[in-house]
Amino acid sequence: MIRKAVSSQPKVRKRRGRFAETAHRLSKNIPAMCALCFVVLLIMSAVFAPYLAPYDYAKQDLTQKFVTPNLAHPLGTDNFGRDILSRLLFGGRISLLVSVMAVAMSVGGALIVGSAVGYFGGALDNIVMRILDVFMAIPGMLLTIVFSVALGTTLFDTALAIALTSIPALARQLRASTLLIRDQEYIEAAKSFGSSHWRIIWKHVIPNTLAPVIVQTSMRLGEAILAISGMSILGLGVQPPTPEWGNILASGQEYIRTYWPLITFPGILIGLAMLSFNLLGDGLRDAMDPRLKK
Amino acid sequence: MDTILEIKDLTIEYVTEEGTIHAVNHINLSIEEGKTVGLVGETGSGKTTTALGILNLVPSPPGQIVSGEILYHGEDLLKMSKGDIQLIRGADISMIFQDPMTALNPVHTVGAQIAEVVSLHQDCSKEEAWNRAEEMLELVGITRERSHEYPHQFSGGMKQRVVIAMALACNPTLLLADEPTTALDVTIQAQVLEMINELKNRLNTSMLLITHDLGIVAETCDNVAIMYAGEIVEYGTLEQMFTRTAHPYTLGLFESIPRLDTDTNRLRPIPGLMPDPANLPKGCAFQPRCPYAQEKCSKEKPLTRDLGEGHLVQCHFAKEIGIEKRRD
Repeated sequence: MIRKAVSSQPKVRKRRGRFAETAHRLSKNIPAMCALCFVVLLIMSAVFAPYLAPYDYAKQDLTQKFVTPNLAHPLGTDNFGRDILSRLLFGGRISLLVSVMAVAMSVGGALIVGSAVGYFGGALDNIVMRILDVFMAIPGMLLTIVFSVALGTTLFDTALAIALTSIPALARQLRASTLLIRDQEYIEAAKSFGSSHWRIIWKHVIPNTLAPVIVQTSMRLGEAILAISGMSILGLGVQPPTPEWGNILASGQEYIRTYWPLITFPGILIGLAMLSFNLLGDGLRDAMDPRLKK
Repeated sequence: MDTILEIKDLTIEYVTEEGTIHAVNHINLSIEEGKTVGLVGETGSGKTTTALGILNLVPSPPGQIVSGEILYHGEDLLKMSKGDIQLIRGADISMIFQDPMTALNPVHTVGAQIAEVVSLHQDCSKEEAWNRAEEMLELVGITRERSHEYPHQFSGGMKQRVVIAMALACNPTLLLADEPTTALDVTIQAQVLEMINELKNRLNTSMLLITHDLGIVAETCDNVAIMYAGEIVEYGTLEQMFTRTAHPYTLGLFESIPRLDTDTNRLRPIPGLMPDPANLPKGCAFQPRCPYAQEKCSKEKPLTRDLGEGHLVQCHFAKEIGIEKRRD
């Protein structure tokens, strides 16, 4: 009798999952889609840099230095006569790789710290959050410099220095989301079905914080690119001759009044990369928020 | 008939800065195999706290179980280790929550959520757990194909069915149903209740049904416990409760619902409000609102008396009032 009652319900239903729904909404956001295209372009150009680059990025030709853009060197050459386009293509590999490593470490660390601390609360929460507060009180760039000096200048060390700096703010945000989720009835239900605390954090808390995490990941990637460049300019990041957007830009500093391409092109590239990651992050946030559903 | 759950002298308090809230005060209750016990009371009378107490899930802090025993097949649930009680939760005793809108995790498919409960308690492969989840969905009248859908794709009544499927997935011996139909509209209420009843009988599950709806009690329960301000003021079989109402509070509850057989212009609600559980009145907790209250009621706390055949009541003048009730 019961089954009959239910099977007579209308069969109209949407088959779209959460992912497809988000993708669909994102695809309607033109700025975010442009940003996504640019990000994909950056990734592809980094991956295929050896095939795309017209010259060897390290090949010096002192007879060809400070050549303004022309057909042979579309973006000109630098102070050692190296092709700027080739250097930017290879530099993108480093910039993107380090920022992805940095963001992966910071998101991973923040997820563990933020969700555990938010879920268990109490004294643990208080102690950990106060420690993070101390770190947040120090200006980010300064903190990155300190970590970088302490750790070293390999790619991994640079990524780690940037990750450590951004963990506190991200962990705080994830803790806030966890606090909201912790008191939801489905968490209580999970407890009533005999799930352990760690299982609840892993299966119920973290998946529910993923939406803000994905948005943050995208935004942080932009910030990380900027931070890496900043470190390079200070001489603490990726060391020459390895090309990286920041140190290409830094090498142009001296010639800022006399030779424009060396500072303009990497600058534009860093700016565009940041802008795209931010636009993409914004777009993702809008797409994932069901309240904005039309 | 075996008693599967016995609550003895259970007291649960919430200790806050503003004072101690006496949520559950020295209650005794037992549930027999295959029977349904209704726990009836107003909002804030301690019904849900009792149910959470059975699973040892009272949020702590601020909640704490001050005294008492909860014997499940003779074993005290309150003295069990964390690991042991986790094995019981969901497998032997499981709970249906009030609001199906929030009791399901929005980011997992309903099939995955049921399968999770199965794999938590049963040693089986993922496919077996998933199969079991689909079986359970069919049992509650949802087609297999919908197991891959997310909670937001279901209506409220369907979500409650999913919650019920989750609760019954491991064939529990005791089901704690915390107002399972309150969040649903009336037509769906009847369907869901009927289904709970049918499944409960088929699986021979006992049930503690928490509700404030005496209509639901009349339809589904074998025994009824009336709760007021954290105390069980009257306990008896369904028949005893409806035909030989003894406690003035229970009487008040009956008088505040319209009857089909008599023409009533006005209902007679119980005057006043529930006492502040942080500051319970001296003597009988119901005394400030009780039309039959006498001096003795505000001085002495009534003890639980047996009016015969297991009909328990916590009132000094239960006999006199009961007689009066039968007269009109």
